Amino acid sequence: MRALACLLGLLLAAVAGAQSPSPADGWRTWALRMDKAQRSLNYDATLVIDAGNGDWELVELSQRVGPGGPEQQWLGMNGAGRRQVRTAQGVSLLGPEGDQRIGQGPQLRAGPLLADLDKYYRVDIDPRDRVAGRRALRMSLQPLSADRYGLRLWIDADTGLPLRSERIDVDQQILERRMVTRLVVHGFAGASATPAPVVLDETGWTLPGGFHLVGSALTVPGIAGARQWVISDGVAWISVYQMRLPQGVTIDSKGWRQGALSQVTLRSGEDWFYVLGDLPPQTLVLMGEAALAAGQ
Amino acid sequence: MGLNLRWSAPTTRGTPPAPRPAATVTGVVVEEAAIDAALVERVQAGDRLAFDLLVRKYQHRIVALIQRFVPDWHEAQDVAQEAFIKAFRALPNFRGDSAFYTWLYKISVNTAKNFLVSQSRRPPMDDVLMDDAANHADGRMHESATPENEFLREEVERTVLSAVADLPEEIRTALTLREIDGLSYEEIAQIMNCPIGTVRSRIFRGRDAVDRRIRPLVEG
Amino acid sequence: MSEDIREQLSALMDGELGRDERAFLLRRLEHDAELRSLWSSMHLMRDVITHRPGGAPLNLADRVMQSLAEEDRQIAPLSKSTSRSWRPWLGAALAASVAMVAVFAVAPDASFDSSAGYTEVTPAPRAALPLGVPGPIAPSLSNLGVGVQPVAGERSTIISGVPTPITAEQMLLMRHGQMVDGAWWVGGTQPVYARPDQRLLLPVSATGSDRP
Repeated sequence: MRALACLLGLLLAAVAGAQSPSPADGWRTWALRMDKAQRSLNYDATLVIDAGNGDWELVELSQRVGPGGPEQQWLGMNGAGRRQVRTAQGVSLLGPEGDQRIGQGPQLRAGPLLADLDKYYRVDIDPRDRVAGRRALRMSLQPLSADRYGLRLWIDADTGLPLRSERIDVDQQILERRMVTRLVVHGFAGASATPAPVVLDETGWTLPGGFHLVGSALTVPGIAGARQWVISDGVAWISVYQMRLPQGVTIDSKGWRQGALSQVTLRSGEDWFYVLGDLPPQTLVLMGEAALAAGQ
Repeated sequence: MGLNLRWSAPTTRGTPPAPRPAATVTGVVVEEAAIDAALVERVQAGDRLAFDLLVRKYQHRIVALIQRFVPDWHEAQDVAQEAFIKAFRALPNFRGDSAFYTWLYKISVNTAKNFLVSQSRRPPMDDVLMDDAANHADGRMHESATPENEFLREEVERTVLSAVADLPEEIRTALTLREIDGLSYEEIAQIMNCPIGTVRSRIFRGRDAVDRRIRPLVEG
Repeated sequence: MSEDIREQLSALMDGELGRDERAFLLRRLEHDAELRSLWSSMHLMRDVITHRPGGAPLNLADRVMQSLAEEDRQIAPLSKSTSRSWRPWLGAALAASVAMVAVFAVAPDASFDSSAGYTEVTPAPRAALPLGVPGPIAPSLSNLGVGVQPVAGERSTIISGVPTPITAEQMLLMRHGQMVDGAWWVGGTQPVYARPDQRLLLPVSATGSDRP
């Protein structure tokens, strides 16, 4: 794992050093440009999140990059006047009822995982598309197995920032769409930190191909005795929360799905596993079982 | 450019006034009438606030139309309110065979006629005359409007025209080519030899400047 | 209200917005009274400039919408039917209730400080809470929607003077969303706006997830 991380880190550095990628560049170049925009582009955007079934939300998103990395403000345009601010220091909820701050969790980037995508997805690019009046390159990630969703991304040719995304299930149905309808770019921040390599110990973890344990936290705010693991293949992101509940308290939910995000619950004795991620529920069950087995 | 803010629309007898001319530019751009269609569709899907936007868009024209038959300013507003409510109730059956405004226009005229009958007042006998009434460029019922309302109307008109006249040349040109000549952004861009985005920005800046001038009157 | 949005509104008047951009702006107009007011104002100025009859400022829209609402209130007890505009919210609430029928309540964590690991919680309510009352973070999945009473398609009516309690589940969701900073295109990263009743949760079946 360490060797893989170093190799990918070198690749990342080499590609990120390229000055002016063109649409003719390969998908890895564009994936890494996207990664760079994610962590170092200052911009304001209006974004629509369509989770299907008439469930959609309009948000205004502003990103500014500070010394600690990108800071984002999400403002929901639902009239409730609530904002959410995310920084490396944590999440703040600001609203008419009052302000609250929640401590930080693991903040992660796909970075090194991107180089391996074509082992688990068929990657195609179409350099001649447009979104919101801007030139865009369409990158299509079609999974080679049914245990994960496909992803289509329209990447801004000028900045590398995705302008639109679509999550697609095995039947090619769109589960969730996200789209930038307005973008004001304020330029790249100066030198941005290179993503930390993935070095977590995966001993005892049996995960579907391409997935890696990329983060963990020993505590979860507000929930005594809970811990969190984060798993990703560079496209899908999964949180597995393990917790023990007070006497007589149970989680009865079999799980739910909202757009591309699903949730399932597993139990082993007194340990509950609350699994959340943009994967089919069946694969989330595998993730929960992997966490359960790793703890035994 | 010889732009004349006192331009008068040609009158067509027997037909309701058409909506704004259709923009005929790039494929992704839609006609203005399509905005009404989109709003109607949303109302039909249960989105009531979309109807609010239609009322806001047409309220002045509908009240002015109704004042042809019900000159009293307050009565005309009441009738207009009833006409909009009737339209809302009838919208599930609106199939878009005609433009929304044409349809709303007919409902408003009928509502005004019914109001006059209910008041034992005689409506105009000639429907052509009725239709034509809405097309008069400057035939308001001044004698029946309340002094306050008439003063306010004139104040708004004077302020709008004055604000437009005060606009920088390129902004005033873009705005009037759009509003008076009904040209699309693309056509204006060709005439003014500038990008479409500049046209869009200039027209907005013009409207924004006028809005700032009339806002105290509107909100007052 | 940003200048860019107002410029979009101006272009919308002229039919010069693309379909998607138009749909999103219309969506925003539903919830933005100031933008709707500008919409009225710009049409008023259009009527004046094009010399259409009219020209006196009006606020008929409020009267019409209020009248419609009053009619609904009178009709509702007889028809037993619900206005269509409410259905999406009812559907969402129903789905949420199905998915969360029995929920768990976790005792408030006494260690709300930064001493454990690298997590911290700093409740910052605007009004001081009396001693003994749990802070704004109330980690319970059972208090979904407490403090917020949604009104269909309109601004929320906040009935609580203190920060809306955050459920344990919202906490888990927010934490999940935070970890992939910047990547808004990752599923599940959208903010949790403490209005879980508006989230459309579809029950998951065939997962075999609840194993004794």
